This record gives sequence, C-alpha cells and structure tokens, in this order.
Amino acid sequence: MIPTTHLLAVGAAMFVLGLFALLTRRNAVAAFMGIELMLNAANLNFVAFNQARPEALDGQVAAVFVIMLAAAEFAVALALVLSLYQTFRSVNLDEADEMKG
Amino acid sequence: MTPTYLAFVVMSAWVLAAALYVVFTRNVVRAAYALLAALFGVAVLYVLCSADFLAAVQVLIYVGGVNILIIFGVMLTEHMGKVSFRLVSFNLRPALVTCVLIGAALALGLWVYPWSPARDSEAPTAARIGELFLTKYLLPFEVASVLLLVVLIGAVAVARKEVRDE
Repeated sequence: MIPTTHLLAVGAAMFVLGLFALLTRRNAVAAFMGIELMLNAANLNFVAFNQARPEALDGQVAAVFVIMLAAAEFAVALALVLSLYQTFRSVNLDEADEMKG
Repeated sequence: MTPTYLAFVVMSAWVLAAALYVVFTRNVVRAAYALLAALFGVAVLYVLCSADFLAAVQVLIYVGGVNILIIFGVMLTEHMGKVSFRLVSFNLRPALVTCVLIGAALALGLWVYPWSPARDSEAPTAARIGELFLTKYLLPFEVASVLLLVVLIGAVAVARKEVRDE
C-alpha cells in the first residue's frame, strides 16, 4: 500500500512538467503531449483518492472517464492540427494568428 | 520498506524521468516515444495501487491508441527530410514563473491538508467497475458514448475538409 501523499506528490510533479511543456512548446503536437501528461497526473490523483474509499471505486471510474475523454480530445486535436498544417504550412502555435474563414 | 513501496519509488522515478525528457528534449519524435514510456510507467503505478482494470485501459487506450495518434500527428505535420523534427521553445521565463507558482500551491496543499490515510484495496476491480457503469454511472456512460460518436463524426469532418481543399 502506497501512502496517498506520495502518489499526490508524483502527480503534482507530473502536472507541473506537463504545464511547462504546454506553455513553452511552439509545436502544437508537443504542446498536446504536455496536456496528456497533465491528464495522467490528474488520473494518478483520482487513483490516490480512490485508496481512501477502496470499496466505493469512485476514483477509478472517474479515471476511466478521464482516459476516454483524453482519447476523444486527441482525436479532435489531431484533426485540428492537420487542418492547421494545411492552412499555415506549419504547426507552430505562434504563427497561427489569423482568423480569416 | 515493503517491496510495493520500493517498486513505487522506482516507477515514479521512471515516470518523472520520462516526463522530464518529454518536456526538455529537442526532438519531437523522441518526445513522443518518451511520452510512451511515461504513460506505460503510469500504468505500472496503477497496478501498484491495485487498479488492475485501469492499468489495462491505460495500456490499451493511451499506449496503444493516443500515442499512435501522436506519432501520426508528428509524422504527418513535419516536412520529412526537408526540415528536422527540431522543437523550439518560447515563453520560457513566464512559463517558469507560472509553473513554480502552481507547483508551490500544489505542494502547499499537499503539505497542509489532512489527507485521509490509504487503505488496502482488493485487486480484481473490473467486475465491480462494469457494474458501476451500468448502475450508478449509467447516465455519464451513455453521455460518453454519444460524445464519442460526435467526436468521431467531428474529427472526420474537420480532417476531410482540408483533403478536399487540395
């Protein structure tokens, strides 16, 4: 059995790393990797909280929903990134600064 | 120190090292593969918390699905052979300040709040999670399936438009 706070510490470290990647990467795909890290950190927290009430399993169900949403999110994100690439010939987030339809 | 805790320490070091590599490498393909390593390490952490179903889902969906999508995204958007897969970072200083502040807030919460102690959980969870999906969480489950359908159609619509434009 792993203490809750230690799991939460790992989750917090992963979250901060993911946030840093999200804020600093210019490449849209690399920024999404940061988002995936953050989602996984949140999931780790859900699993850690589940250990407080293991018979209810609420935390693990929430984590399954988060994984499902992350998969859906990335499918849309990939379509958007491809569309961005077709429009701007690059996936750098700071170059996509026009809103012409 | 129990063997479980030792495994936890090793695997969290593995996950954090892989995450650091994702954040700081200059090569986007290497970042994608390091992310794969990190996600796999998280699956092992789930096993150590006796969340067996979640670990299987993590491997199937994240390692098998999302990571393949990410590598697709990398390969389809980089000019193969013309431009390198180099990653450039920007906003370094404000991002560092934000991350330090948020990390301090998280650490403070971790330190101050009286977290309820962990209890042992019994390992086979798949049957009970399935039961919860069809009883207590039936509505979110159905909403999630509708959302997946919407996402499927939406992703095809968004991605098809740019093919037609060419």
